[in-house]
Amino acid sequence: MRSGRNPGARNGVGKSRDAIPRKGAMIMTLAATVASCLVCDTEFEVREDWEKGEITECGACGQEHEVVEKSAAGVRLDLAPEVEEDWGE
Amino acid sequence: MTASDQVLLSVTMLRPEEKLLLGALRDEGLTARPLLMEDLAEIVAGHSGPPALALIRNLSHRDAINVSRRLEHAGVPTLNRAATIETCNDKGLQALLFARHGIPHPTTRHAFSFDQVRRTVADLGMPAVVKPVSGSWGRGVSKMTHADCVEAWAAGRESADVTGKQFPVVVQEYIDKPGHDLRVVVVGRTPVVAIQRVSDDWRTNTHLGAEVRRVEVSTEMEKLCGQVVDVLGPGFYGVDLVEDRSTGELLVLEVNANPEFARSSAQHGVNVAGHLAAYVAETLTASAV
Repeated sequence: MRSGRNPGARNGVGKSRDAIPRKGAMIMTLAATVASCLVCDTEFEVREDWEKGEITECGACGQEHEVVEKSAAGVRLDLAPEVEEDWGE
Repeated sequence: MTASDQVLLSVTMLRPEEKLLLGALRDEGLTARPLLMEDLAEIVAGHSGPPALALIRNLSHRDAINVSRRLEHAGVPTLNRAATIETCNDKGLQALLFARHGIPHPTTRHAFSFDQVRRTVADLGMPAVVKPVSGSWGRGVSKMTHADCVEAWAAGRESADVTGKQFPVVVQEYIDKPGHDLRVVVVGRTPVVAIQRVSDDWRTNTHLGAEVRRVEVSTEMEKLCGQVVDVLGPGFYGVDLVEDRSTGELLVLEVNANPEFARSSAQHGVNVAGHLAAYVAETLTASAV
């Protein structure tokens, strides 16, 4: 029922389409450490004030990631949803 | 038993608006957390105590209706209400509601086929505006200035929707406005801020680059917003008004049930998230008495 999941990377810098992560390609990381971009593997900082649902952007390739889970164990990131035709105010 | 201070913030994703809202709700002493679609099953199954209220802030119109309907059926009040969201997400339903309740609105007709669009545009006279019933940010809104426009619109749409499944659309009288429209943000029943959206484009959506200028909430704006709230119920709305340059009359163009405010708040200085959070806290206090 959830719409808007990114079926592929918006910016698959230097990667073939097959190498681009698909929906569900999540990463789990411990709190206060770093996560790797699902597209270009560049590491970026995991911020403690992230909220579930928040969008964060890879500083290297621009791929947006969504915080889909946050707990004491860490956070899980997925590719951010892309704009869909029913999005709006 | 309901957790009287627990508020869910239903989102498609957490934008700056919702991040501001979470902070404002917590500043009111409420326990607020984001709700993604995947979390809904657990909430409606009643595995945890039901929240006191859910704020529906989904970018996706489908998700907004799905979430609010299910929460309401599970006994969780939502803001806005599911029926209100459904009406606001359909420009055709809004037009019908406005007409039924005498709320000033541009003449608007439904069209369920390409031929009906042609006939209705001819009937209303050109220019006329064709809009998808559901859509935001100016997407798919076309101004028909002569017959060739209608044919170009029909040809383009037909190639994307051969069987016409995306009908109806609405055909609306074109209002010649003075270079801007107005957006009034309503919290509960109160208009908390009004802005002009100024653009050289005939579409004055901020997503299309319109400039934002704060204006005072006039008596006329207040009256129109009051009429809207009377029929939709108290809630959180972005009420779009348009002035007919030839008559000076102010009309309600449409009502948005999920108004954006982060960028415009930075310009007009009104803490919309704070107003909304305070309203939520007051509502919960009143319902607990």
